[in-house]
Amino acid sequence: MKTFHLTIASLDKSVFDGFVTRVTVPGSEGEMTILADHVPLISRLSAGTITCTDAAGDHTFAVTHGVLEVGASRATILI
Amino acid sequence: MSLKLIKQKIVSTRKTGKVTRAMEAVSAVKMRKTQERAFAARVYARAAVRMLASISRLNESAVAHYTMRTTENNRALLVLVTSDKGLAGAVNSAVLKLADSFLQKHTCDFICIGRKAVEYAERNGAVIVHKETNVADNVSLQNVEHITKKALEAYKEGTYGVVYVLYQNFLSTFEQKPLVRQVLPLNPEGLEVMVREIVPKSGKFADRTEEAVGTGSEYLIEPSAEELMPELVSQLVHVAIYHALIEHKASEHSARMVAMKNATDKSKEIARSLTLKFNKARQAAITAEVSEITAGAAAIK
Repeated sequence: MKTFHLTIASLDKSVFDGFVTRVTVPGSEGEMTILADHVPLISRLSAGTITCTDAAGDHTFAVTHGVLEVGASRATILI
Repeated sequence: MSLKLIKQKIVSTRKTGKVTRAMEAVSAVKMRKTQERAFAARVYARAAVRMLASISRLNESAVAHYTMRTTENNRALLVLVTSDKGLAGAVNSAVLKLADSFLQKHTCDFICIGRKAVEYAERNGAVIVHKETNVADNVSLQNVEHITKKALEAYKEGTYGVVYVLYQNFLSTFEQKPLVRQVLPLNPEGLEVMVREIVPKSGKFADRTEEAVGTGSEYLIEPSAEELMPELVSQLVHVAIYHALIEHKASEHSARMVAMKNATDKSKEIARSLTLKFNKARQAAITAEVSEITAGAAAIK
């Protein structure tokens, strides 16, 4: 499956940095899943969990607030 | 000076030297750690600035609310960052000197971080909106969060027209400069410069290169630019203030390291000259004794 580069960063450290096939985030308008080649998007996140899937399996992170940015073949989440 | 006195002085000088050397080593480690933290914050800062740029391309009016001076309010809020402790060379005096000249041009209220800043503001009889002392070296986000909140709220209510942050900028281990930066209204160019400058001019972290900024693709914005901006703005203000704190910590530790190195060198020099003096005095005493004995022997003959 096609992968894209995902970076999850909080101000004091980088939480996750790697290539994933999919990421599910709690968007302010409801939960959404981002796959590779998603249209560029900026969205606010509400409280919930982020789940991303890469070769090693699923990873989950809890968030209270944040911003998601999806660009060409990469995604950035600021929490 | 008697022999005993000189000896005591040598011992105490050496002891001081040991203390300063230990402080130097501690500062060196702390400096490295803060530099690493500053670098870790960069990913975040860069992404936040990039988002601001994308949103402002798409919807200028939503951004303009935060980037332009809306009111003719000349009251400024100054976030003054200093350290709690001295013995760090000219770090704090440099910052406070710049604050002096800044105050001549602006009327400011203060948010003070660090004991020296609080003392300075109190001495000047200025209004202190918030003060924070004993900020740990591993500046936590909680420290910064409520400072940011206070500044943002005061700005939104229109109490202040501008928010500045003043701190000692870390250029390299031997070079730091005090700096004023405008935090609010947001200044996209200034923020970009800040993000670029997170890498020090020289030293271990200097050779990391900047990756290309994303293309100007059209973004979908959800829920809307107007609703997204507050979140992004608070993040950017967060970045600016957190960054100022980290930079200041790095400056403080490197300045202290250099100051303590000088102190260690000086104590060695003094111990050496005192040892010389001690040996001379001892030799003089021996010579005097010998000449007395020989004189006495000659008198008997």
